[in-house]
Amino acid sequence: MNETERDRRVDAAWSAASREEPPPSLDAAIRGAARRAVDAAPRPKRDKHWWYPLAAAATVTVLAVGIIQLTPPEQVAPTIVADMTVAPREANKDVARPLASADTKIVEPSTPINAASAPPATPSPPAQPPARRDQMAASDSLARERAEAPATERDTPKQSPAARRELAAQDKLASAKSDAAANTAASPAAGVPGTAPPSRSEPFPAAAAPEPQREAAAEERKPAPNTPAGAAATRVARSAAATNAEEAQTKSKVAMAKVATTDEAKAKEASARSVEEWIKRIRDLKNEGRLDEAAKELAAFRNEYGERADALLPADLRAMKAQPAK
Amino acid sequence: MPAPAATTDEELMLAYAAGDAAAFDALYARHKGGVYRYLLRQCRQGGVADELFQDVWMNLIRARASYAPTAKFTTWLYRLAHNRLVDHYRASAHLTLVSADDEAHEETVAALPGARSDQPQVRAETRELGERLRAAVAALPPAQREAFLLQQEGGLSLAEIADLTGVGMETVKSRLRYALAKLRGDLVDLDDGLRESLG
Repeated sequence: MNETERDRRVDAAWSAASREEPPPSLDAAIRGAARRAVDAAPRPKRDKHWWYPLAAAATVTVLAVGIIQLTPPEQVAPTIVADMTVAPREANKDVARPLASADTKIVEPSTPINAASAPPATPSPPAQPPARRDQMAASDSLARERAEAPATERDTPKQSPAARRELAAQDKLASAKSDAAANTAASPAAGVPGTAPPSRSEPFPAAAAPEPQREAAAEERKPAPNTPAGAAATRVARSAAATNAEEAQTKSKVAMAKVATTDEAKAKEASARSVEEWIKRIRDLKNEGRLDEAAKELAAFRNEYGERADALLPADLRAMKAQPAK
Repeated sequence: MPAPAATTDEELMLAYAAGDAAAFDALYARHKGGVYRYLLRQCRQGGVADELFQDVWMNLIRARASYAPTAKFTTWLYRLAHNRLVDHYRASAHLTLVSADDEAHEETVAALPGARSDQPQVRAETRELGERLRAAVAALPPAQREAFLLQQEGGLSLAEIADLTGVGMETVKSRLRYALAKLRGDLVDLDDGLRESLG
């Protein structure tokens, strides 16, 4: 740049003379506008969905809390409560004490332990009918007895003695039908429909029937006299027995359905109650010198109770040799 | 956060266009005085200069996204100021930028009022060096004054002034030659003062 286009003295004088600046308010206004323009510009998308993980975590938390609130605590407690209520009873109870009655008391709301310590053992509503409670108690006690029973006993068919008696009666009735031509004595259950017929495999007939009935049954078991009148009487008895057998079978089927659930506890109770009588009977037979019968009874007892028989039997009878039950 | 001094105007403008407000602050601090004085000397009214000044920077802010460093930032900035000034002239319709060296406009130049420094009352008021110099510049024809101000305040070269004003480089040379001659003539009696001011 030559001298005509630039004068050093003028430049210096102008630099010294021209020093005006915009007012500070104008500076602030322009800078503020510049910042606002930058801040108003669209931001990157990284902040757009920042709340997604937060919302997911909150949803999971709410669902978890809701499920916990809606889930009744009884669903977790039953096993513990049942163990707590049963354990002391089983520890203190006598061996001969009926299991069914003890188990039934566990679920009764009037039981102090249940009323004081825990809610009902099952989540079902407490206003169940007594029959339902009995069924539940019976099934509960049956399951507990199965769990306590030895393996050999558990492998056998899961039938109560009463049900087994019913099945035995049906088998005998069926055999009586098929053996119509035979001249042997009629089935012992034919003449007494509605009562539990004593059977060979019945473990404790004395408890099932009163003594006079057993004697009557023994009388019926005796072979009929081999005379024409006796044969006619036998045929009449057989036809009546067949008719009664059908009726008994029908009734027994209906009764089985009811008895199998509700009366199992009673049967258990009867079974447990007859242990002492059964032992007394064996001891009486032994003392009377009827060792064969005592051995048979002992064999039946052992057959019924399996490995538990030794625990139930007194020492003098435990050592006694039992004949195999016929 | 002030930008480093080594950062060029173009880099600062690009940074501001990318969202860096601090870059604008640095850029504004560098050029606010020159632009303001350029506008102030041209329109000679402080209030109008403030308005024009704000408009220039607002236009820059709005045009930041379209900025491309194809030329010097100063050229772009003073082009914005020049355009805003032309709009102001057109709106007020009282002044036309003419060149004193344009032979076709010699009569117009002759008809222009003389420097305020020639007037006795003004001379009395502008005793000081700065005031008389500013008055001398203000007395220049608008085209010469604009070329002079762009050179002094904006630091633009002849080519840049020619590009900004839309005239040839020789025209710019002529305008500057006339302007300096005028100023020298007005400031002859101030040589002593100039020497003192220059140290």
